[in-house]
Amino acid sequence: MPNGYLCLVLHAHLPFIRHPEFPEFIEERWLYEAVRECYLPLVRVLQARRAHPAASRLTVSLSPTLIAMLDDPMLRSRVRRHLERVVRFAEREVKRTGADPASAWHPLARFYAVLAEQNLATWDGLGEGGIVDALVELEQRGHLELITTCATHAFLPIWKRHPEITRRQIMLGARMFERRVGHPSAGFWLPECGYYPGLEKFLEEWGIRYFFLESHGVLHARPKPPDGVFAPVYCPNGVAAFARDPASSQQVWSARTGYPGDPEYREYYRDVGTELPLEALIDLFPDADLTPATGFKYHRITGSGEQKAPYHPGRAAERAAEHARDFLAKKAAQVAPSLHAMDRPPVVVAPYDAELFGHWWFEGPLFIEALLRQADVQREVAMITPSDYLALHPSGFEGVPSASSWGARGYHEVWLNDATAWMYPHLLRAAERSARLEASASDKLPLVMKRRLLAQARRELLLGQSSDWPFMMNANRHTEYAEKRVRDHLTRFYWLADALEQGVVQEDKLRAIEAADNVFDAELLG
Amino acid sequence: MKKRRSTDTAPEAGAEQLRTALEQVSREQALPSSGNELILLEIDPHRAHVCWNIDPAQARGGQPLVLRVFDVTESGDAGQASQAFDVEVQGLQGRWYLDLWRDNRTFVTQLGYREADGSLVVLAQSNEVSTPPAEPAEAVASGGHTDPNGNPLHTDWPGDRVEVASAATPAATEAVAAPVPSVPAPEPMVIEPPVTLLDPEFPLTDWAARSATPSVASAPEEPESVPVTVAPAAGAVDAAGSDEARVEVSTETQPAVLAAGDAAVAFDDDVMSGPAAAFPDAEALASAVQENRGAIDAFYEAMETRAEAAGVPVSESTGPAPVHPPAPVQEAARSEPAIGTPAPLEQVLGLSSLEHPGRDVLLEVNAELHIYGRSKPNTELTLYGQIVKTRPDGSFSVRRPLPHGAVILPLLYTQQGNGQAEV
Repeated sequence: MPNGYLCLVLHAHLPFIRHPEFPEFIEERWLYEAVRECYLPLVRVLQARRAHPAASRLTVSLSPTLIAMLDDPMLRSRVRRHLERVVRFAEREVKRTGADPASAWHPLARFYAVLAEQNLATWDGLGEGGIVDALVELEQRGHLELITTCATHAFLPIWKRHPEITRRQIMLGARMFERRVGHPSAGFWLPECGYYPGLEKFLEEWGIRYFFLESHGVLHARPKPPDGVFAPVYCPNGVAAFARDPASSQQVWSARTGYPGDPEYREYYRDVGTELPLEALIDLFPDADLTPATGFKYHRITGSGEQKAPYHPGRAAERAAEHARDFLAKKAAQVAPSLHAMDRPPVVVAPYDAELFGHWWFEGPLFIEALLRQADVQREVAMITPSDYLALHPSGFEGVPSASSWGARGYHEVWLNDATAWMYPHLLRAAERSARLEASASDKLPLVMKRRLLAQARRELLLGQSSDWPFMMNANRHTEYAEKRVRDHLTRFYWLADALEQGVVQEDKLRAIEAADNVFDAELLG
Repeated sequence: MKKRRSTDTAPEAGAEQLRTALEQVSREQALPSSGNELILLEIDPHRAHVCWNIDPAQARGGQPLVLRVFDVTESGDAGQASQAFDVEVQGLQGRWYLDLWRDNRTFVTQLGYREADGSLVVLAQSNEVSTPPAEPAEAVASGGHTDPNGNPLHTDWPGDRVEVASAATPAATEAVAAPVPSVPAPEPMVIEPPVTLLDPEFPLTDWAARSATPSVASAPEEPESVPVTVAPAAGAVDAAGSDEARVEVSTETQPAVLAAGDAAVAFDDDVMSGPAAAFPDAEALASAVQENRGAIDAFYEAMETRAEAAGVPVSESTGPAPVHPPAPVQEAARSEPAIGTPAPLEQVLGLSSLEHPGRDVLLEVNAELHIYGRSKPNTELTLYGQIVKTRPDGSFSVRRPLPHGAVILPLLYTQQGNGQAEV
């Protein structure tokens, strides 16, 4: 038996951003970049382990909106278009930097060219099933555990007094996951780790056995858990709440002391796109006048000064392996003192946004690869999933966790503040009207039309509830877009509700709304 | 929305028509407004956010709305609440942070108009909220704030308040027994609640502005008006001014019980009487303290007079801790020179961002002005010449440091389309 367990959890999520009404849309690039920098490298890292026994495992939560986007034909064609453009840009960069063969940038341009070709080849090689199928296949081989989250990533504490909203968010997340992945999800990623006492009852309805909380969600549980964050709290209904380990968060997330700030790692902010003339970019990156980000970054962090040295991928990879070794050693040191004080080996839960690894921290996928490999060959800390843990320890300390989130200051402020509060009364009113819609539909409408209108109204309401919009408003990044999204979903909802109740439908507008917001098919919506 | 432009890439079939149809829906479909509405959402262990909307037909011109906050942890409904406090709010539509002060408790609020006897004509009632615990289980003592040793910081709420049941006025006694509807009443109804000591019409703004005017004579100045419409109950205090347009002070430095004699804990002699180079604003501060003391004292005296007239005792025995300085302390403070005089914290509200370079910070006080409201869609607002961003529902919210002296807000409203401006 090991001295302790490590649960590495990657939460993969992006808001549903899909704009068929525009040939190019800047916010859609988040998906393209995440595919290119995070999801494809992660798949490659895990696929490289297929030949070996699945000793060390990790957990990946796949949000329903991300699954919908990765499966969407229009977005898939646009992702591929982006990957092709990156290949073309790499060729251009190889040529440009090759003018001076002694330049430090030329080898880096060739490095990016190889990476770009590799991404395109991986994408094409995955076929129609794409990244989701690849992860499902890896799960079937035992390398990871997939879990689900809310339908549109609603921050559930806001909807505490509206159980029908909470139910629908969880129900759709569970149903979509089961249909796409092929089995019910044992775990549930609460968006933003947002929890309030009693939420576990809704999870239980879908057979969920565990979820994750911010540290104080467990530390402030009633009664006080004796093992702190090193063991889950089992709610009165038996659903287990695993707490985020604050030390693990600090070691990876901290900009000052975390691994990603190492001088050898790639500098995030210095993109060659900011240094090239617009004419050199605009045909391949159509929004370059707004965001000249190409992903081609030639410098390493170096230090805190403005002067940055050239990036060296080989040295950075070595550093990632060293950091993985250090991380594992720190986990071993963390669990050792608690081993004999507990009735079971301590578990350290380390959850992160999947998009950290590769996008913000370019070497992140290498770190994960090295961590899994090193964990395979030692006996102190076993990398397992929460389901593995619960199979070993199906019961334990019973308590009621505390309301909490992993947002700044630990509660709701990130999603409920001056910048965001305007939207909630509107969303609440819309939800109340939605509850009456089915009964108040006009008899003038054929049943098929009623169902279309009702399903689309539900989609609009769900999309408006995403926690991503208030997050963006709070961060004052893409605020205008986030506000427009909330308003658009609300106006579309009311348009649909009026049509349903008045029995008058403008077919062209209905088709346009359905084409734009096509997340979740009618069968899923129920 | 960021600008979009066509590219050399052929657009998907129908994109143009799709965009036109979607834009028409967004343009033509208005978001419905609500009737009377009061929504309470918890933020953290000590705060909630409150949103309200009141039908203009039910508005009383010029009279401020009052938000009454009930702790219903034990009782489950406002009519049986053990404690309550009032917050005066502005506007028929609005949003505010609401300090609830206590973790691990359950609250409900009512919004309405306060009558002269302190009762509330309820126009809307909120949902309940429950604040999470702020500490691990062992450290919490009966749901209050705790210090690092786990000892409760407050025995009353907020600051020092008395329980409803202990209020001696007949009106308050009736309030305990009065049934309270669980949903907003179709017709305004009167709830008899705890009454407040700090008059809602206390001229705080004028007083604050005066406090920062260095040319004002140091002689105590009588407040221009001291309304006498509310019969106060002992120990209760209105929380108006503790929220928007408020001084942002941590709970550790903001005790309402910081009386004249206690203030030495906040301002030691060295700070108050030290050389100007070390504490440049000391003289201005002292001047303001002296200048405002008269207004404060006159106000409290008027309140005491009214309390006595209403048969409410105002001595220390009326509540667990008096909200204002007992008379002997006030007298002593009044007779002392301003410099070195310990001051109630609220007397420096009119001064912002006191700077003390090169010194350890003993107490830092900053003030913030929160300007918020609502305009029609498609309007442009500017404040001090800077564009104020309006949200999709027309609401806006700006926070600015509270400057010294009188505050003039040059808010320019421009209706787009006709180019007309109103100030």
